[in-house]
Amino acid sequence: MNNIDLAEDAVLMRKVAGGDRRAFLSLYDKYAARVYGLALRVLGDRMTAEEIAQDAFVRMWTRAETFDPKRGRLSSWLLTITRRLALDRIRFESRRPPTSNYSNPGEAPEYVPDPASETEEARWATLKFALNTLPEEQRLVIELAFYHGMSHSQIAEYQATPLGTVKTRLRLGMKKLRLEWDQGEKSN
Amino acid sequence: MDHQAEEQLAAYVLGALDPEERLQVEAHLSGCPRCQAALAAYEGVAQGLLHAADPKRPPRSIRSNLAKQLGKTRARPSWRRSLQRVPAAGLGLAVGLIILLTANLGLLVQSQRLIEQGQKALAQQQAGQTAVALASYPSSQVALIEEDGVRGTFVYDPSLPVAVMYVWGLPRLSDDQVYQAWLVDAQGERLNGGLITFGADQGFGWLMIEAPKMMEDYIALGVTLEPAGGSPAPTGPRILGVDL
Repeated sequence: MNNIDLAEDAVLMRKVAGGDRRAFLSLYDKYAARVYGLALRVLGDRMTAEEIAQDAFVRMWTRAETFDPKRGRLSSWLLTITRRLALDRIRFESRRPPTSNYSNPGEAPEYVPDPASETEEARWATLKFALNTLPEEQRLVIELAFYHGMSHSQIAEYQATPLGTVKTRLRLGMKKLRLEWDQGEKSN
Repeated sequence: MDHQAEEQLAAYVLGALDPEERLQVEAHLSGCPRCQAALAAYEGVAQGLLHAADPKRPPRSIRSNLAKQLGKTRARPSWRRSLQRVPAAGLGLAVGLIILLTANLGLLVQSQRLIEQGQKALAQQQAGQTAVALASYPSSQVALIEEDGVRGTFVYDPSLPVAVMYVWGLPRLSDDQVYQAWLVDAQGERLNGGLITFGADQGFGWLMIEAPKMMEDYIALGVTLEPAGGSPAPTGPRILGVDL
């Protein structure tokens, strides 16, 4: 996403804060696939993911005033809200992690036009590739923590693995992801 | 906690720490620029993970439901737009007066700054000690704050009138604004909980609350944006809230 797109998002969000429905729907069309994709990734079932995606956009409408473009891009703000809502639902319903994996590397991704620039998309793709190529035990603990809201000790119990092992796997995996992320930043 | 705390930051950004560990990391972060910088790097990874989920086209019904719902739910009114209604000449005069006063008070401010820095360090230390002490109480409770990119912890004991909040990721403020906390009781009354104090880079804030009643008498904590010095009752937009 280039600076013009970021500025355009900021302008649209100011309009949304002023009650502009067209601006809201324009942003919905731009980000709905990312929001729904993340909700589906966390929750694993379409019906609840739809509810959460809808709730996230209602939050965008009612809290548009709190969005500050100087702090980051709109997609990150919106996806953070989505993850938070989805994790709250998981905790409220005491759900187990979904058995179907909507981000399975073997599954052909559905083509959805994406608002991100090639550079930005490449960086996210690099991180996703790095995540998928981590040793499985490291990838799993990161996914259980980030996408399913589980703490170290909950993961240890869920996987029947010693707590120290879980901590080490998570730390090593995140260190590798941070290296990939930092390299992406330098090359941009 | 020494700089091996840096290793816990990866778990912190993923939300994988248990409440007590999280509190310890936050207490450490509030006074450690090195770990704050490392945290920023890990926050980048977390943002990347948000975008790593495959985009999926949602059903059309969501869009139409939202379009119907917009008429029933109003976007929150903007406090900035309220400010824009102040006449320009009056605003200019006020700004001019502020600049004049600021220039004349420059020397006094410089000497007071050292005193304030000392007081801030002491307050931060007290907040950290209180938080860790509270966390060790058997009946202590920890409410996690995760809202719109803001993260933090509120630790309290229902049978005590004391609580500590750590918060990370609040938008940077101009000098004429503050974040003010409010304790909400069962009748909906808002009691001033104090102003959030920030470290040098304004990224990490903390607040120690000494309430007139026990914490069990309050049902929620809220934070609003207020003019410098705070307000006797909430006037600005709600920034975050925690149910107790």
